[in-house]
Amino acid sequence: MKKLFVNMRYLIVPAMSVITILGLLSGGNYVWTGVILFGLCAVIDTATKNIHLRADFDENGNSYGIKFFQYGVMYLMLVVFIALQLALAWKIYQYVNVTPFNVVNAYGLTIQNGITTTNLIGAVISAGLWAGIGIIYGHELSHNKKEGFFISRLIMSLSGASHFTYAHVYQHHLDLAHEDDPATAPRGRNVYMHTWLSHAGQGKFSFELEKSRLKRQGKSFLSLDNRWILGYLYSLPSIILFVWAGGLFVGLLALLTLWLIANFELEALNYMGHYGLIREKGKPVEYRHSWDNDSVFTDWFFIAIGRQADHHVRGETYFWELDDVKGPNYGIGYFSLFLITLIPPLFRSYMKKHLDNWDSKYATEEERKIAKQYGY
Amino acid sequence: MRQSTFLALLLVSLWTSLIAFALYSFDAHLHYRELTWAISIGLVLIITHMVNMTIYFKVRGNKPYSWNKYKKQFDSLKEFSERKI
Repeated sequence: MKKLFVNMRYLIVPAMSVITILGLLSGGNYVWTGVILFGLCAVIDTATKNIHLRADFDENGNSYGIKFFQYGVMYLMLVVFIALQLALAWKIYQYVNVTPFNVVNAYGLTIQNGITTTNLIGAVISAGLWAGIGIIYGHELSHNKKEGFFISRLIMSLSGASHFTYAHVYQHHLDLAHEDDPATAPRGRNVYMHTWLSHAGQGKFSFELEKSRLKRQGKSFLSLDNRWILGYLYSLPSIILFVWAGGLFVGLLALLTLWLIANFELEALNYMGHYGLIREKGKPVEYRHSWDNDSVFTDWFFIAIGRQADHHVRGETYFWELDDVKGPNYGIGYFSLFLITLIPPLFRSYMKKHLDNWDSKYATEEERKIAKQYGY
Repeated sequence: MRQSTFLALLLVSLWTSLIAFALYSFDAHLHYRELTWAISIGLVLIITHMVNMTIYFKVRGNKPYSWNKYKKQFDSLKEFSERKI
């Protein structure tokens, strides 16, 4: 029973993503389902912020997680996220074609054909919010050295961010909490600026990585062996779909909005995970170089991505085995913190006590010196 | 805004506008429902995006995400928060 519970509790996102797709397909005001679910999650996360659980192991120290099941779900999420884009593209198609408003029943689902401009906006935001959540699977699978890595590339390409898979593993994990890591935000930077700088910085890493790799192999940069170019080509089906469905204005605008929301969520997670933390170049990554967010809802919803301290020290560990390692902890979940980051002065004020605590209790003498260099 | 950021944005805007004008000149906005057109437009757009990113990388230099530029900002914030009212 315990085994079943441990494995089922990570199905919040798959279930809510499918409900969001059904909302889009149902049409009418139901297209806002994704936005409402996101808001509901924020409420639940805030209400349960004081519940912190440990990872579950049996009496022999073995994890209850079933690898075959969890990986199966993560691979299936690629299909779910493709379905999400197809559902949105269908609503855009109806909008551009000015499909007459009517109600039909199909496969037991009441479908409202036709869509208003307001509801189209709702559909795009709903899809964007849940496409962005796809990052948690793209992230987890990026640490897999086999087919999972490729699935991660495909999941991330649905948000135009296929470069993430390489940059996350070969840059972020190695240069964490150092100026060389674009995904680590220095103190004073707001989440909006961080979104662009981190996105572009990781893209540049992937660009340079391929440039030097292909040069070593004596191949041209402009080739299909270039994984930076390939990553963008993986996004091509999404672009073709939205252009075909909605043309160069509505279709493209919808896709850009979806990518913008999804990438904002991705970079907000990076932002919250390491804001203001410092590591001396060449020193090992330790628990203190990440902020933990492990309240119960965050843990189950984000498949333990909030257990950053443990994850960055044991990067190859499955998410269901990550545990509380007593690293620096915000004490609240990602949804609550995300809402705070949206208002930069509020976030800075909220972070002051946490950073003061980090500087005095966690930082080494050298890290404090580096902090001083930057005027912290 | 840094001069290099401004230059990068300017070049990216010019390149994107040029492509938009070219697509419009070829009546791409009238043919997007034809599959070959949709695929071609998609290819043009993704190449435009890749060129834009390359322009940004080249103009903006090695580390656009450098921490140093936040030093001054952080100093003034600290000063502000520590100011006695």
